[in-house]
Amino acid sequence: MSDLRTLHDAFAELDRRADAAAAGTAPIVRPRRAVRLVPVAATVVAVACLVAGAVWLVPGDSGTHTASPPATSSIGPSTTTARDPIPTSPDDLVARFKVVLGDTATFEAEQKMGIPAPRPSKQPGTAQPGTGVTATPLEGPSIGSFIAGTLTSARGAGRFGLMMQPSESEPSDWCKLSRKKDCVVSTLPDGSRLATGTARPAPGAESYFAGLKRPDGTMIVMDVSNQEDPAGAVPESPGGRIYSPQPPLTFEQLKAIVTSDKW
Amino acid sequence: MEFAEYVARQRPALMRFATVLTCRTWLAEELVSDVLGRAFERWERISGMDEPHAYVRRMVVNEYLSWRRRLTRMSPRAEVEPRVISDGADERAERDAMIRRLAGLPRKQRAAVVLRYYAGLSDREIATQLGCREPTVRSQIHRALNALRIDLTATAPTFQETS
Repeated sequence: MSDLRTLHDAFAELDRRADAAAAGTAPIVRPRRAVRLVPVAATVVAVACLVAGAVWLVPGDSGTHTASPPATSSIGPSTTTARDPIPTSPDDLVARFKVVLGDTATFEAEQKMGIPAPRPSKQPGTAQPGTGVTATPLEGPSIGSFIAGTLTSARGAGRFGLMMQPSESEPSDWCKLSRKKDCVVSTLPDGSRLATGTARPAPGAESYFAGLKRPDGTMIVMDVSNQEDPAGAVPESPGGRIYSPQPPLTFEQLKAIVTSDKW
Repeated sequence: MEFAEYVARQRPALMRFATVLTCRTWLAEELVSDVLGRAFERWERISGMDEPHAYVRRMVVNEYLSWRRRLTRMSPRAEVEPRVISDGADERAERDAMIRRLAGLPRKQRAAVVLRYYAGLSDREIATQLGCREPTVRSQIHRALNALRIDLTATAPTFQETS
């Protein structure tokens, strides 16, 4: 006989396989009438040839990133007033994050995705010969980026997720999605709206969330946790193994990162 | 919340859930892609819900349960991706055996046990997701645990969640 720990080990292994598969393929969103079963290798080929449905997220290479020397050693708003453009490639976001993070921590971005225009075309797509898949052409390049991976500091290791893009959604939307019990939305002096929250999704697990919506519409969302899956694989899920007794960043550090002017 | 934002944030989690549910990564890829395609068509309504992710996850479960005809065409061998046990570690062998037993469960039993022990849902929530009564959920889970050869009296993980 086995016990539940073995079942959770099996779940964790399947999680790992899912992550590995996701890293090797460009995810697609398929229109309803385009249901088709193909091996993943065929999916790779199909995705390489077309953009199906609303979104095409492009994973990039992963690698370890050590923060380069920042302009100042502390995280926080700088005196710079000019904004750099929103990074439209995950690698650009990685570079930007290194600057903002400074010497606070190092990170490895294991998931990288470009985010296309938020309002994809609903025009009828074109059927790809021989595939049975209806594809809608991508309207333009990515307008934002998402990265996720492992973050390590003197406090320990943990997972993080970071997204930056222009957005019409409000930080309060992210409170719901991030499932933080004590999510608070406040307005900063410059008119930005900041949502922050914490959660303890499992015994010993702790996660922090911060989402900023600037007056110019730029959204910066980040969460960090001492647990494998800070966003939670599914609501109320155990969320994977715990790396450290505490998240690698403090709640205040996370808020300082999200509100930094170094973006 | 925009659909692209949702996908960027939650697709990895949906992929994990679908992989646990199907025990096959390529099938999970198909499942999630199809479900997100449908979710896109209804996104205006879904994004206004209190728990949009819970709703999309339910769509994944429903889609999975509706794939009976296609899944039964698969050979049993295709149920689980083979993994070579290179180091002979007992724990790894036990884990892989558990994956094989999980993949061999009837789909409703598998969905019930995944929703309970992976998603941490209560009997009532699982009944809602599967469209059955709570006693049926308990029966499905009981049978699944027997087939998985799991002894609930043995040491359980500290993070186990039940209703």
